[in-house]
Amino acid sequence: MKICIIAEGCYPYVIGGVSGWVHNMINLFPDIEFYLVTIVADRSFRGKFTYKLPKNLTKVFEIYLQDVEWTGNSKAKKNRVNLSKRETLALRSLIIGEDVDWVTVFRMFNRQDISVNNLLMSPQFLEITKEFYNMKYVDITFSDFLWTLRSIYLPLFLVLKAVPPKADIYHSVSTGYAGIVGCKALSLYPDARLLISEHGIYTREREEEIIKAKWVQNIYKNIWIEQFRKLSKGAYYFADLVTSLFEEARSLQIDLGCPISKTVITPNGIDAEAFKNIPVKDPDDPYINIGAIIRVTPIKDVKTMINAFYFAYKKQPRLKLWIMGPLDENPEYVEECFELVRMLKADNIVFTGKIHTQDYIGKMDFMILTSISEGQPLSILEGFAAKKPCITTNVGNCYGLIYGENDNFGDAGIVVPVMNISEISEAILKLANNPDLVKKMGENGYKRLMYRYRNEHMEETYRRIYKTLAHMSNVEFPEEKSVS
Amino acid sequence: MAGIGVQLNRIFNKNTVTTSIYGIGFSFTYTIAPMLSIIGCLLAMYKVLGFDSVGFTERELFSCSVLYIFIFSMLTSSPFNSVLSKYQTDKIYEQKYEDIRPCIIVGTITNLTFSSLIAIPFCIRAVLKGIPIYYMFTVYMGYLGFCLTLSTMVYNSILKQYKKMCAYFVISMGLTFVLSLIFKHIFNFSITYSMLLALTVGFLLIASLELANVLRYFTTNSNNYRDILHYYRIYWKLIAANFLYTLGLFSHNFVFWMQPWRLVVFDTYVCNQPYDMASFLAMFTNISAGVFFISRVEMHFHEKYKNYMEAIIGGKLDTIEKTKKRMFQVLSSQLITLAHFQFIITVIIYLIAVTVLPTIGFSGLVMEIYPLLTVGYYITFIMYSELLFLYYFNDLTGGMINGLLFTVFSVIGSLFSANFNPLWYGAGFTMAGFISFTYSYFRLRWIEKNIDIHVFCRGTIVERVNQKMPRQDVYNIYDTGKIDTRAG
Repeated sequence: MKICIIAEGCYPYVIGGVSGWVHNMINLFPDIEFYLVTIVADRSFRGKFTYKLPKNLTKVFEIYLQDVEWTGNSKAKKNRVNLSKRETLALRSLIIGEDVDWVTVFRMFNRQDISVNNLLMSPQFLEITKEFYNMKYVDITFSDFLWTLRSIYLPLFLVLKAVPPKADIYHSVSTGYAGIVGCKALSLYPDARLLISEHGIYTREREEEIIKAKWVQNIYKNIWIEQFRKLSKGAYYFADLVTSLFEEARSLQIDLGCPISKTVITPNGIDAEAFKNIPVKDPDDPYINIGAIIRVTPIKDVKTMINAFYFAYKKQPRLKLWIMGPLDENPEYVEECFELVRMLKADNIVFTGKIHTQDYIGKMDFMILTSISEGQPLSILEGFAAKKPCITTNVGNCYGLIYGENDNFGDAGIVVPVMNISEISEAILKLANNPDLVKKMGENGYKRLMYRYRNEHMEETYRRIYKTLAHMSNVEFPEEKSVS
Repeated sequence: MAGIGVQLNRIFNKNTVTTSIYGIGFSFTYTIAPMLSIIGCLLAMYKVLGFDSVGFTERELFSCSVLYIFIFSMLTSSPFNSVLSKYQTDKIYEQKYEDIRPCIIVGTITNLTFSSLIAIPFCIRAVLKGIPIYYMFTVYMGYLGFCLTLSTMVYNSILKQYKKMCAYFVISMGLTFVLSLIFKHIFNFSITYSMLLALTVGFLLIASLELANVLRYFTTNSNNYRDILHYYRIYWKLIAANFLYTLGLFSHNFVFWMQPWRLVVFDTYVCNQPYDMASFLAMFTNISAGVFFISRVEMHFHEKYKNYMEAIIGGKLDTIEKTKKRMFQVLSSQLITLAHFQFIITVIIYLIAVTVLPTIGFSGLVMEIYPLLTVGYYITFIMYSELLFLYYFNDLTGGMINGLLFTVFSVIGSLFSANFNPLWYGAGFTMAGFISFTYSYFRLRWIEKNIDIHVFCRGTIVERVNQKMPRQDVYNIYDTGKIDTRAG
């Protein structure tokens, strides 16, 4: 049996929560052969993997959102595109966004002679654009509108033109482009099944990104947002099962058009055993160590963390903040964080760069996470595994992880509002000045982890899902159970 | 020639009878003054030097030499000139003035090389057939001089140097006349050779003055010579369209040069005097069509075209649709106006010609051929206006097909009509003009329907690479087991 994981902009190039999850998943099923289809920005990423690939991951395929059009040996060399009436209507439904006829869209892109360039430059695309323009956008410059629309559809068309490898189950790690690649695979291999696992809610994350983005003019933001909604809706429609990490995420999926019958909650899991016998804090260490296992990127809101820490540090000079994670994803933002630290003269802040979590986490007193957006952060679960409570912003499933969902283990940290420096600062001081409370919360977190968020739970859930999907596509599922 | 239109706009906008007359005079002067100065100079030399007294063979040798210089220089330089004109306009728009000098250098070299490739074998043959080498060398230099004159006229037109160009022609032709007298009376050259040598010096002088004037504007040189060659490659259709149109203008003459009653001079030059003369008269009868096109049609259309283009760049769809509608309305109405005006003028000139020309010695055969050719040139010049509109819309394929139809039907039609009564000799050319006119008309209508596609669906949004796509799998344990990091 072959499972093809489809990931977008993460594994195996970038270290992070979703990448770690994919890596973990492949390792959890050593008896299953995995392929990976990975969607990246352009060819400059080609083969530049950060992770050491597991042995059961046998092939990696790349799809680029920006690429040239390779016309060699192709029937698409001429500048013309011939679309049937049905294909033109499908293209219209895709652009105007009313009940997209995805089946025809996929079939159209399965044609050998279809050219992304010719399609975007076609009279049909122009006429549909005019219709769309006349519906809602009559007051803006038409040529800008046309070229913007072309640039919006270019990455999608490049993705649709890609041919995923044949597999029995396609497992998209998000909706969006990855979801659409999974759907396209179904159009090529109808016996296969599609599973979508959402960590964050893709549509919401893109929406937040676009609202903040400076590279998109305001008037076009809606079109981009609608575009991602369409992709997600399409993916939900074709998927056999859609998983989410927690109840709130599942509700959002349903709100965004996912049929309720397809939704399943599959919490994250980590290898709790790996956190036994880790190095612990030196009793002579005078500092109160706060750990943040994060990529230094704007979505983690490191600047708020630094500011909040600074105000707490002014009142409790024994505090020391350890920011542990890669610094190479957004160098500009990293530099801004360094500048902020220099400006505040906050000497007790350490940027470690990329680390091995187990080497550091035991030495911390408690953890902190100030993200603007999260799913179900693995860093909180890793803290729980090391019996460390966490101060976290109220995003994603953080509230559920800290205060529990249908369990009586008690609080495992403090949940604070997003970007609220004073509350974060107060929470730091509260934990810094109450070691007994920290210990109690750490124990609570550990119990919660052992109850619900271990690898074994996740493996069992996904084994059941894979098995069900394998049966649905009449493929034999390898019964032997082994854990890496 | 849109530049003249811009200047004319200022004149016509004042909207008085005086300014209207001044406007027409302005365009008339700047469009056909160069040609008139050459004809005037030739006539003056004929008269003053006593061309009538020259023997038949020598006279025909001179006439054919001048005829060949005019016809073949237009044929060999017109294809390149169209691209050189486009290149220079684009570079001025991009403000890359340093690229103009390389364009002039490459343009001159390609022009002279191509022209020489045709002229040298012909001159060698002429010398072998007994025409003196110095004579043929002078013809060759005169031919190159006129080729250069035509190409440098293009550069000066883009710079709107109409006054200077006219001045260069008038001064040089004046000097040509004086030189012919000096050669004849001081150096004792023969009448025809004095005229030929003076004319050659005159052409070279115009070319030099025009070239110097252009180079004065573009003092720096980017040494980017490849770019213009790249333009030749991209705009090969423009080259073909212009060449075919020019060939079509003369191909019917070539057919008549092959008739048994042609005139052969020194077993080298071939011509058909009655037909050639009738063609010249018919062309001259309709020459004002060009003036009208520039002074009225293009001027009105250019404004609407500009509005449409501005709407495309920064307008709403509604504005684009409105300006498009107005532009094509003006195009249609101006073409009809041109046809009306030119018809009246052609009829008037024709009536004058048939009355006056026989009294000054034009034979019956010329006058028999002349009427139908007048109709042919009338249609052809209206067709040429359509061709210029096709260029406006960058429809080079349409332009090329138009030229091809014109030439092919001109040859085929003339091959048939050469067997008819002399009254119908011009039928082939007229039919060719009508066919290409009809084609261009429907092509313009087709553009009207499809101009949005023409404007918005051209070009590429993704770079296209004529290679097979690199493998999608960058890692394959069954293949090499290695990660493929080649960028593809």
